[in-house]
Amino acid sequence: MLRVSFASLRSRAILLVLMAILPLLALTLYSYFDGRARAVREVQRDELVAARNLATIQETLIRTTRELLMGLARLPQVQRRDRAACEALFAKVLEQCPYYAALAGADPEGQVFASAPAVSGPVEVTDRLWFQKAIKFRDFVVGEPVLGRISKKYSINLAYPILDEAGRLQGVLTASLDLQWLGSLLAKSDFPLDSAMGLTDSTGKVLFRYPDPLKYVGKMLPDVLIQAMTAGDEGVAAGMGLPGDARLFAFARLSPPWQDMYVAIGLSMAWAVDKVDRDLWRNLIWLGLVAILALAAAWFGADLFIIRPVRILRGVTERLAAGNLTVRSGPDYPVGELGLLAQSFDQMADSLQGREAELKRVVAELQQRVGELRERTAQLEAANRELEAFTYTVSHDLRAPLRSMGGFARVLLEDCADNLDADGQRYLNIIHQEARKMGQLIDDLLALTRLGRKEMNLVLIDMADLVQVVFAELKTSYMERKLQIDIQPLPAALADRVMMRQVLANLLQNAIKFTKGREPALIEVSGRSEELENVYCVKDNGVGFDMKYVHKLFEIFQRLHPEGEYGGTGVGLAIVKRVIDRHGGRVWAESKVGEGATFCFSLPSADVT
Amino acid sequence: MVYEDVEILLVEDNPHDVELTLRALKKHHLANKVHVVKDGEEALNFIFASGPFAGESLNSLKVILLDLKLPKVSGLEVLQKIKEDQKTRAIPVVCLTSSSEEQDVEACYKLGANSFVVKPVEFDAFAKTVADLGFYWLLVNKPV
Repeated sequence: MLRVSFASLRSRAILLVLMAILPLLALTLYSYFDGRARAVREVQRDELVAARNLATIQETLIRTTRELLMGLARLPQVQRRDRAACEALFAKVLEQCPYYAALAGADPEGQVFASAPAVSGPVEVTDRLWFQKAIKFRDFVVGEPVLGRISKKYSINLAYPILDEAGRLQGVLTASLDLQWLGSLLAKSDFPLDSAMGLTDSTGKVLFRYPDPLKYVGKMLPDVLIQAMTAGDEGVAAGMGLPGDARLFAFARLSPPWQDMYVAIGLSMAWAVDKVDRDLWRNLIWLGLVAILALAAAWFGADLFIIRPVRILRGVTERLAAGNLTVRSGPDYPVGELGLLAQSFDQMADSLQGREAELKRVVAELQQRVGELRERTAQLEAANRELEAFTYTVSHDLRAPLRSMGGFARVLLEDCADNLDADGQRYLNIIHQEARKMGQLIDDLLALTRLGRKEMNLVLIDMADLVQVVFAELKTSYMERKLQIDIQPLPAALADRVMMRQVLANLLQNAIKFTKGREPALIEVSGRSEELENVYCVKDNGVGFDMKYVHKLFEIFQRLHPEGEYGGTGVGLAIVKRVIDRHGGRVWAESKVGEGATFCFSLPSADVT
Repeated sequence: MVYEDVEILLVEDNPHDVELTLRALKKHHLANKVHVVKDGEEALNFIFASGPFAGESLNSLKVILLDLKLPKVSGLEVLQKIKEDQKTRAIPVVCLTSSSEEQDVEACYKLGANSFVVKPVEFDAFAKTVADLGFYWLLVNKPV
């Protein structure tokens, strides 16, 4: 896990470096191709200029040679075909004009009568094109490039007929233009050693090539060059050259009347783009070096500036996670965001430590409170036990004297009635009744306190049935009353049967008590199921009560009616409330004075509990 | 005093209750065969013919009205002794108490009491209860 995340961070840094280098690489390559194209264009332009120059030189040479030959042909020694004088003259011209390979004169039969350089044996030229054409056209003609018989050099023979004053043909003068010389001009240029110059005819056939004429004369130029030549008088091309390497070409056509001749120059592409290629390699090497340096910086820099602080922070975090809240990454923070992160971390640790201390304090406090609460609970339980004992005592010991008071008052009334006047008998009756009431009060109080501690035994109760039973029991105590009860369908209740019986008894008894004087007394028991609870209501048509006092209704010893009128101890509804409270329900009541009252209670639905 | 005719034993420490009880029994002509003891110890002595009652024959005892709250030996202990002993367990015991505290009711029945009666405060009801008890146990309910 640790290694992977470090590798990930590091590889991300490296990826960033690579992404930064990539545009540089693209730029380098772009500038390489751009520079290469420019270099090619420049070289081709230079080539074209050179080709043009060579063509112009060639034209000029031809034209000059024509003037020379025309002049020579008129000289008397030439007219005479004076061998010695002519050869001296030719030699002199040759000496001054290095571009001539040879000068010669031939008689009309084709025998050379004088030449420079001098030849020992007889030389025959009847087969030469220039000789035939000069005799035929009796004008200046340009021959084919050939290997000169006199000069032993590749040359073009230019010829002019020797005509006497009557216009009769006396012979032919010829000058051999040294093509080697023309080619050597190329060698003097800035072009590389392997560059070549060629003369071709309009079909692209090589008439002469410098250097190595023997190897290439008679061959056809490369197709790309021939195509370019058909498209224009001058131009450039690139393609596979005759020596079998990639070459750049330029060509220029000679002006009319020599338009059948082209000068072409070719040189190797490698030379043209050599500088650009070297630049490319240099740039690539620099770029590589920069990349290596940047990658190394990213590799070690990531370790130094990111991974190490992160590792430290991580170690601190792990110790913190292990529970050591005092650990901090500071006080020496790395600069930048990681430093801020470390500071934030320390702040977090501070706050965590503070909170834990607070938490411990709160827990300790809580434990103390719990202890106090336990103590208090124990005290309350003790108090409760005391109260129970007290209740028990009360129930026995308070009732016994009451029984005596009531009992002996009664005995007095029965046994000594004759000795008492009317008031005396009334007083004894009051004592007897009050004693009975107090007994009832004690019974109710006991019932109320019993409810608080009795264990509840929850069972499913058919409420309608229970109401029926309870009402039937109560009815026997009110035989003189005309009571009507309407028990509607009631939802079943999950409750303590004994307690629920008490609740229903108290509510029904209340209804019966407060309908005193109604003929008939109507009691309606209804119920409904709601979402979370079941509701039961007991409605009567009795005297009702003022809603102003509704809050007092369920409090112990609270009565809303004078005691004498309806009786009761003021405990019944308090019992109802306590029972319903213990079941988790609610009690409430609604009424209007004189219009009866409705007492309701709810119990949690059986399926909810 | 001769005890061989005693049919009802009333175990009650409160003299006023005793008086009211006896009056009620007398009204129904049941009082002449009643013997009253004031505490649990005396009750046990009487029932088991020990102490002051040693040598007495008590075969005629038909019912014991036993108050639960007694000095010295409680009513529940007395009840337990009666029901534990082969000779006395057949004697019907009616527990009397001032309250209807449920633990008392339950304890009484567990120990084998034959009936349980809450002493009403109201004199009429009290008298009626006592009379009913007397009738019931003396006349209706034949001892096994």
